[in-house]
Amino acid sequence: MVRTIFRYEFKQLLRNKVLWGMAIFLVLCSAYAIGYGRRDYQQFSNQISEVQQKQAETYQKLLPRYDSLSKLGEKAPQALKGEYGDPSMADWFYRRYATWTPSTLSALAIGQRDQQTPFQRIRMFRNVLVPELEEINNPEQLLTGNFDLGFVLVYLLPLLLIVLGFNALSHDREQGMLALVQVQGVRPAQLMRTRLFLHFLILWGMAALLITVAFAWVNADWQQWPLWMIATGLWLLFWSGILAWVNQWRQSSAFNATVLAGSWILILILLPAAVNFLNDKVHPIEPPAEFMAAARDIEYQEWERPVAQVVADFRRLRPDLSSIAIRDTQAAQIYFYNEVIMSKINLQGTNLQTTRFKRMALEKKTALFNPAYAYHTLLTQSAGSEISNYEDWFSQVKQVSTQNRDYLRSLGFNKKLVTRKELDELPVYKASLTSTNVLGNLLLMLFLCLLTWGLAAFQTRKALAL
Amino acid sequence: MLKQIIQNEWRIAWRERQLSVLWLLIAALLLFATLSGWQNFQRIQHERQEAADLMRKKWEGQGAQNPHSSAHYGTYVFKPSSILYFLDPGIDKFSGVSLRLEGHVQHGLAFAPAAEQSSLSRFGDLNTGLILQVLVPLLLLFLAFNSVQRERSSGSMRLLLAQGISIRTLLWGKILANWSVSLVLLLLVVLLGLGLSFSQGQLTQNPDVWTRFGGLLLLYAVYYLIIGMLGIQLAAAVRQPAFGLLLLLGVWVSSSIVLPKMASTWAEQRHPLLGIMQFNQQMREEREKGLNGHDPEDERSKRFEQKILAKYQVEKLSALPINYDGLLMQEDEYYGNAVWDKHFGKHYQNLQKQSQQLALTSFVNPFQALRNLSLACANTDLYQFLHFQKAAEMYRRDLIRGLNEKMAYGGSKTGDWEWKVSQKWLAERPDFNYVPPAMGWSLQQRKTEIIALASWLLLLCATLFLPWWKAARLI
Repeated sequence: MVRTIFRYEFKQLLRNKVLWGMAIFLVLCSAYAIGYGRRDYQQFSNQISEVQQKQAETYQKLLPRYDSLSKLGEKAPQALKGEYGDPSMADWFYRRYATWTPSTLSALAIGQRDQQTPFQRIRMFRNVLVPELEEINNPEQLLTGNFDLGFVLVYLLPLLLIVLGFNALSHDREQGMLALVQVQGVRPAQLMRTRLFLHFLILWGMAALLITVAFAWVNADWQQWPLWMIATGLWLLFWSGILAWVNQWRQSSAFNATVLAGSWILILILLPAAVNFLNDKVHPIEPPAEFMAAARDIEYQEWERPVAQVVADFRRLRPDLSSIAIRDTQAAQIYFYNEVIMSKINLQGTNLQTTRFKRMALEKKTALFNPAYAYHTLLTQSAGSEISNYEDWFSQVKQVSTQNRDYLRSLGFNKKLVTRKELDELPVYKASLTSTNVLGNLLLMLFLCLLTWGLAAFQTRKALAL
Repeated sequence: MLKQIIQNEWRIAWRERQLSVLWLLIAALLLFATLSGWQNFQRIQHERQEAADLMRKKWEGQGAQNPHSSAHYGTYVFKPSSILYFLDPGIDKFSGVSLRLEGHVQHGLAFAPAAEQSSLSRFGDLNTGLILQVLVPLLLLFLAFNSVQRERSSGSMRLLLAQGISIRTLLWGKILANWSVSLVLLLLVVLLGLGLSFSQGQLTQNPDVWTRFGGLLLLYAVYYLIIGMLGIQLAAAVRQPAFGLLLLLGVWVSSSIVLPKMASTWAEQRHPLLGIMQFNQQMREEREKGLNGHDPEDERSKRFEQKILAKYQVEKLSALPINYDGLLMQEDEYYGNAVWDKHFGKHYQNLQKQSQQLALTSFVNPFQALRNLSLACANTDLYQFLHFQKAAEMYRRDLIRGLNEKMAYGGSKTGDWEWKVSQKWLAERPDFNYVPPAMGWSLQQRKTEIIALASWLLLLCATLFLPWWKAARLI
């Protein structure tokens, strides 16, 4: 019987102009979204390439000087030794950058990529907590948001499912057909489930096609394809559950459409907005005025303090390095002062990051009530364009910065001349893959699917009992 | 007759459980969002005032300093939030709130709260603007559908027309009835907003606040009339109920969710902005090599030195009665300013072009006009953001010029970097006092949107008088 209904409904759907209209709408929106994402990613990667090229050019320009220093050693002219052989000067001249490079998949799920400066200069005297340069954006455009494939899948796909299935039962009832169908031994719930399953398959199929084309178009990492497919399937299944539940309320088509449109607004607009609201209340983001003022004062005032005090501070802050003998006041001034300044600034800046982490933790906790965010995060995290991905990169930048300071300090304290060898050993950022934990969100979506389908099953039982 | 139709529509709408629940829900959300928006506004205003006071205190307490050290020490200014932020917070979250002011360089606004958040921030915030712009129009469309469909399916439409009521009177009655439902919601916001605003007297002394408040009300009232007319006409034009409802929902989703995003990304692609690296690189190069690319910094300095020596009729810098370093630094500032003006000017132009491009889409989508005008009336839009940046930059230039001139003419000699000015003199430098633009200025930037909204109003009024509307279409 199910097969017969399935075959009949499929034929009916193929004749349905609304379905064809929707398919065209979805394809056009997706094509625009993929095209936009691709161009946006191109601009982004051009910027990254420029930064990397700049680093390579600087290195090439410096090579002859450091080759001379390697050749001549201590016999090199004082100008060359003083200007380029000094470790802190080598650090200044050799412009090295850490670049944040989300994968090409971020063309399909832009996430927070457009709001972050995707590079940081690695330098001894750099406070990494405050970006040297802030990315240029149009805030009105940021407010409106991006039209990427992620948006199409999160917002438009459930809407199309609603359009197809809001009257999965009510239409037959309103036409007087339901009683006829029941006479033939078909249970209404069975009919509705078959229809919704068909709608689910059609939209999942269309989504699969679009995702596959999009992956090929932007040359994305195919390893993420199954995740996108599963997540999209669960997202559609969750909405099918809501449709099944509402359709069994035995109300009119107009009533169903109103309730389903209301659910869409609730899940995609009100719930995320409410979580944002809650987060702003509990963990407001304030302009870090005190931090900025303190960081500036530390940088200005630290140099006025006597060497002995700074050395004492340094030993307290870095007990692992307390055995370093102080033979040279100038080196102490450069490296110890720098270490003390950075430690103090980092201490002041702890709050900055704490707020970010607390907000992220609250968002994670509320994801159970915020399925749209759970699905969206799956897409952006797999593309590496979520704020958590940026945080991972940022901690790598901090590590490289510390390595850089340690390396330069060891050179400076050993009065080592920087030659080609040392130049090549200066720490540079190398992108390392960070693992993204998406299992939690997948399980959460699975739970939500079970919940909505459970509600639908409960409603069926209730209807049967009546 | 019109009055009776309106009364009848009100009565029936109130009896419809779904609609009355929806109305109450939206009203409750509006009250909640307005109240919490006000609390948010107060918190933000307090934070920024506190931050500005702290920075001023730091500036005044920096002690006796060499003027150039003071220029490097610099200060920070914070973008104050408009009082109508509580109704429409606009771009504040995305635009950055603090600006570093120091010698030699013009910075952009930094620390946008949204950059600290996950992509959840892109789903939007629960604020009065969201409800007034997105949910109230949806309620209007539901009301329109219900009002037409109910009478059509029950046959009372046929009866009404048979009694000699003109189609236009009937449609106008429904439009005005629905419109008045939305006006009541607007009235709730007005009353609450007025009460809250009066509680903070010093903020409302400026008459511009009231002009802006009035402007916002008028804007939303006009928009709701447009949506009311559009909803009733569409609902009346489509006979099949389910299709009619889908069409109205489709119009709502397209206008408030899909089209604005599409238009915004389209404008962005048409006038792309430079990446920050490229932007800074270009400015750095022009400062070093000259605006024309053939006037290096060293040569400019040499020429300036000759000019000053000739002016004071001496042969060596050490013989000058003034501090040449101060003059040279100010000359470099003037040159830097020309470079910033060129590049920041281009950047601002690009932003404005994007905004104008978006404004044009208001002729296709009235929601775009509403959103842009709402931001403009609340003084939380892109143009106000640029206005603030320009004002802060003017202040920076004055501050640095004052410091450089003090260095040059304050009694020190060339090369005397240890020379200091008193803390008192530094504390006497005027503080940054930002005066936001008036409503007239804000609206001038949004002429396209005003014309588009007026065109929509006229168009929809005109379509009501088309001979196409016949009794047969309504029944």
